[in-house]
Amino acid sequence: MADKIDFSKLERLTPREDSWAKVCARLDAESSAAPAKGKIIHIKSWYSAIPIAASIALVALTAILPAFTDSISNEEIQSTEYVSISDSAPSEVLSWYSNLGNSASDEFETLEETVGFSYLIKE
Amino acid sequence: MLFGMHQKGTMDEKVILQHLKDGSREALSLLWQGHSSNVLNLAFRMLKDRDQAEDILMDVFVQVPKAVQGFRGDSALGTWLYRLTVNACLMKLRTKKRHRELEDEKLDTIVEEVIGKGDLQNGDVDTELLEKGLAQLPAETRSMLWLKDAEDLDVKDLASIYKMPEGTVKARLSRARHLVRDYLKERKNHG
Repeated sequence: MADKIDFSKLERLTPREDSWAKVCARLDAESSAAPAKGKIIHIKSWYSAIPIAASIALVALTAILPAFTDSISNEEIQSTEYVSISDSAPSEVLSWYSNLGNSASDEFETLEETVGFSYLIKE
Repeated sequence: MLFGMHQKGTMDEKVILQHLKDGSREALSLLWQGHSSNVLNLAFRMLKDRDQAEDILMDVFVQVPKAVQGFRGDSALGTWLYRLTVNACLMKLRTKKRHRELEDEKLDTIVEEVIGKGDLQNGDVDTELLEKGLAQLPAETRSMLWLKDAEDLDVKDLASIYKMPEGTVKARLSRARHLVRDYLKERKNHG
């Protein structure tokens, strides 16, 4: 190419005499260190394995848990029996309950304690 | 010797590559004989420091046995080594984070280091100017210009080394040459 920059005047470097020997020494050191590496327990990899396993377990639980809670709540709905107060309460309680707020008197109407207690104990 | 004397022939390169992959030290030695000087000069052009260039040269060849396992032989071994060298130099420059400072700092000493202290002769003034002109370029572009004009690599290889389109390489080379020439003209006119 005609418009090349002429680098011919710039001196070319040659590697130092001991450079190749240094490369070989480094390679030898690496290869001798390599088998020792195999004996080391890779705790670092454990550190990464544990969080991954925990994450997977958490995701699995999150996926499975709604199914459990659904079946539990269904069972509860099925087993819960609705009992009306009019079927179970004694007549004193019912009449007190139905008259609440209907009285012209300013006095606070209270259910007789013994009746109330006996109802609660019965329930 | 395990291999033939011709290192640049495609067949021989394939043989060397295979032995390199097998971990042969002799193959690595052949690679060193054929390419260490090129690697050193490229590193020196980028870093402008003889000691650091030697470090890069050794780093590159130490990493060859591992790195070659991932090399498929799509390009010549020399081109692949240049790519390793450019990457290693860029990494070094980035790590130091003083790319620009390095350019200025080394500018005054580079001629002494290459040519020898206090030994500037008639033609060396041009050499010094050229060094300073090259120093105006970013390290990557400077190395690209060096590989093209001093080492005669083709644009296709450069595109492979710098991982950029051939058109971009040509444009960069053209701009770099203009910049260096303008610098030389300006300095000569003022000198």
